[in-house]
Amino acid sequence: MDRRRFLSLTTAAASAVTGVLLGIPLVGRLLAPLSSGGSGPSPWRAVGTLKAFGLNTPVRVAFPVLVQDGWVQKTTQQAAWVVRTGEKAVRVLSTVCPHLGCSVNWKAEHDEFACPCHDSGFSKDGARQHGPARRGLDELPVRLVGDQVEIRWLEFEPGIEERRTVGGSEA
Amino acid sequence: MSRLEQLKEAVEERTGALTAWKWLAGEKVPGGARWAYVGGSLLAGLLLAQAASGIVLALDYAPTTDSAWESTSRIMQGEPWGPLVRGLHHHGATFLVLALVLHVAQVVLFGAYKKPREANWWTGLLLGGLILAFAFTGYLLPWDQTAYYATKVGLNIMRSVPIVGPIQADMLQGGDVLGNLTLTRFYTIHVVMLPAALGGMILAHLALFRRRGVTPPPGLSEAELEEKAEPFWPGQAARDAVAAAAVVALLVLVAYLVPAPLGGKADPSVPFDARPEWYFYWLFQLLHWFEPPVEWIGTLVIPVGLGLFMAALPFLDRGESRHWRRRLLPVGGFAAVLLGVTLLTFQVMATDSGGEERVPDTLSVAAGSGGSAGGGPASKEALKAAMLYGIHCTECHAQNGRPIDPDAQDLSSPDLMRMAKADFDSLVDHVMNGGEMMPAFDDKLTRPQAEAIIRLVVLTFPDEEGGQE
Repeated sequence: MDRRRFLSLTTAAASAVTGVLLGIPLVGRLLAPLSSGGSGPSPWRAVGTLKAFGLNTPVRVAFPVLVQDGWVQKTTQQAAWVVRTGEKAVRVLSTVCPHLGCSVNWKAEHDEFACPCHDSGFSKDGARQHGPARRGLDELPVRLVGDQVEIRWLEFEPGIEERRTVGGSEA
Repeated sequence: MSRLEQLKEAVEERTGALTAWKWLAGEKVPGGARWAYVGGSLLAGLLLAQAASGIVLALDYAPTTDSAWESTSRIMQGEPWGPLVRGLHHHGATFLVLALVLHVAQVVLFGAYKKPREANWWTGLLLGGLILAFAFTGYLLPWDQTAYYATKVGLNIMRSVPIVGPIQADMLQGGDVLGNLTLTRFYTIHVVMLPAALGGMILAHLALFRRRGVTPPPGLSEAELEEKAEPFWPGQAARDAVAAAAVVALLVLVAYLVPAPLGGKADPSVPFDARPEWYFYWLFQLLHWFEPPVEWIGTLVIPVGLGLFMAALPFLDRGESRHWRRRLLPVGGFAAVLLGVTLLTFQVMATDSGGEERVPDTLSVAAGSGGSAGGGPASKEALKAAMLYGIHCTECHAQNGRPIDPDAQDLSSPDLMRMAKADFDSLVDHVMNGGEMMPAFDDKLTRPQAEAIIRLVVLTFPDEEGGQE
C-alpha cells in the first residue's frame, strides 16, 4: 500500500467512525417512537344514568380520559356514541371513523352514522353500510354500575379491516 | 485615485467582493431580459418573505398542546402587528403554491427541462416537494380543530401505505397520541430541518442554473440570441424586482384584508368536519373516487405516478425542438394534469358542504374575532378568560360550552348556554364555592378571574331563545 492510498483509506475510516459514533445515538433517538409501549388501559368513566338515554336514540357523550402526552400526564376529552338498546342494555360506539379518523355524526333523517370526511356510513349498531371504511364503528367496553353507564376509552388502528387497538392496549 | 476607489480596491483585495458581484450581476441572458423569466426570482422572494414572517412568528409561539393554540391566539388578538404577520405567513403559503405552479408551467412550456438541464429540473421538483412538506407541517402548528383533524387524517393516509407508511407516520406522530410530541416534531421539521434542506437545494438549483443559463424561447437563431444578449444586471434584475414587489404588495393587501383563520382549540371530543388546505383538495377528492380495496390508487399510485411523470419528462420528451407545437404530447400531458387538478379543486369548492354543519367553535373563539358571537377582536380580558376556561373548566365542560347531550339529566356536561341566563353573582359564587357536582375553584381562581370567565360565558351565549343553531 502506498502512502496516498493509506491516507485516503484513513480519511474514509475516520469519517465512518465519526458518522457511526454520532449516528447510533441520534438515529436511535429518532426511531424511539416506534417502540412506545402505549399508555395502558384507561379507567372506567361514568357518562350518565341509564334513564338519560332514550331507547334506540344515539347520544353523543364526552368524558375525560387520562393520557400520557409526551412529558405530561393529562386529561383530555374524548367522545363516544351511546345507544341504549334495551331496558338494561347499552351499546357504545367510538366516534372515531375507522377509515381515517374523522369524527362521525348521527344523521337521524338517514338513520345512520355518517362520516363528514369521506362519506362512510354506518348503521345504528355500528355495522358498515357504505363508503371507504373497511370495518364497522368500533365498540367500546361498557358496563352498568347500578344505574350508571360507564365507558372505557380505547383507540383503534384506522384504515384496516381488522380491529386492533393503538399502542397494544387490551380491548 | 479617489478615496472611494482606494477603499473599493482594498476591500476587493481582501474579500474578492467586487469579483463576486461582477460574476453575479454579469450573468449573460441570451436573447435579452424577459418577463417570462421572473418566476424563479418570484419564488425566491416569496420564500424569503415566508422565512422572515416565520422567524417573527416563532418568537411568539410555543409548540405544546397547552400553549400552541394559546400562543397563536395571543398573536391574533393581543399583539400589535400580530394578525398581519400571521396573515403574511398563512397567505404567503398560498402565494408560494400558485407561484410554484406558474414557474413549473413556464419551464414546461419553454422545454427548459430538456438536455442538458435535467438535473436542474429534478432539483426544482424536489424544491416543490419541500414546499408541500412545509405546508403540511405548518398546518398543524396553530393546534386548532382544522389543524388537528387534517393532520390526523393526513397521518392515517400515510399509515395506509404498506410497510414504510406506518413507520413514517409513527415517527412523525412521536407517541401514542397526536399531541405534544407531534407538535415538537412538526415544529422542528418546519423551522429547522426543512429550511436547511431548502437552503441547500436552492443553492444546488441556482448553481445548476448558472451552469447552463436561462432557456430562451425557441425559434430564435444562435446569432439572434447572441446579438440580443444582455447581462442579468440591470435589465432582468429590474423585471424580477418589480414582479416580486407587485406580488408582495398583493400579499400584504390580502394579509391585511383577510385574517388568517384560527378555529377553536383542538378537542377530539368536539365533532368537526375536517378539511385539508385548498391545495390538497384534489387529493381529498380522489379519496372519494377510489374506495377500498383500490383506495391506494388515490393515495399512492396517482400522486407518486404524477411525481414520476414529472421527473421523467426529460426522457419522455427527447426531440431536438423546444417549441411547444412540436412537443404536443408532453406539453398536453402536463396541461391535462394541471386541468385535472384544477377541476378537482373547484369540484370540492363547489360541492363540498364541509363546515356547513359545523358545531359552533369553542367558547374562546366564539368570543373572539370571527366567532359566531359577532365580529370585532376580543378584549384582552376575554382572551385571558378564555385561557382560564381552557385550563380549569374543560376537564368537565366541553370546549364550546355546549351540552354534549341536551336531554341528559345528570350534569356531567352542563349546558353553559342555559346557565348564562342565571344571575351573574350567583354564578360567580358557584364557580368559587362549588356545589352539587361542581368543585370549588377558590384555591385556583381569584374572584375577578371567575367573574371574567362568567362574563365570557354570558358574552358567548347571550340569552336568546333556541341558541345559535
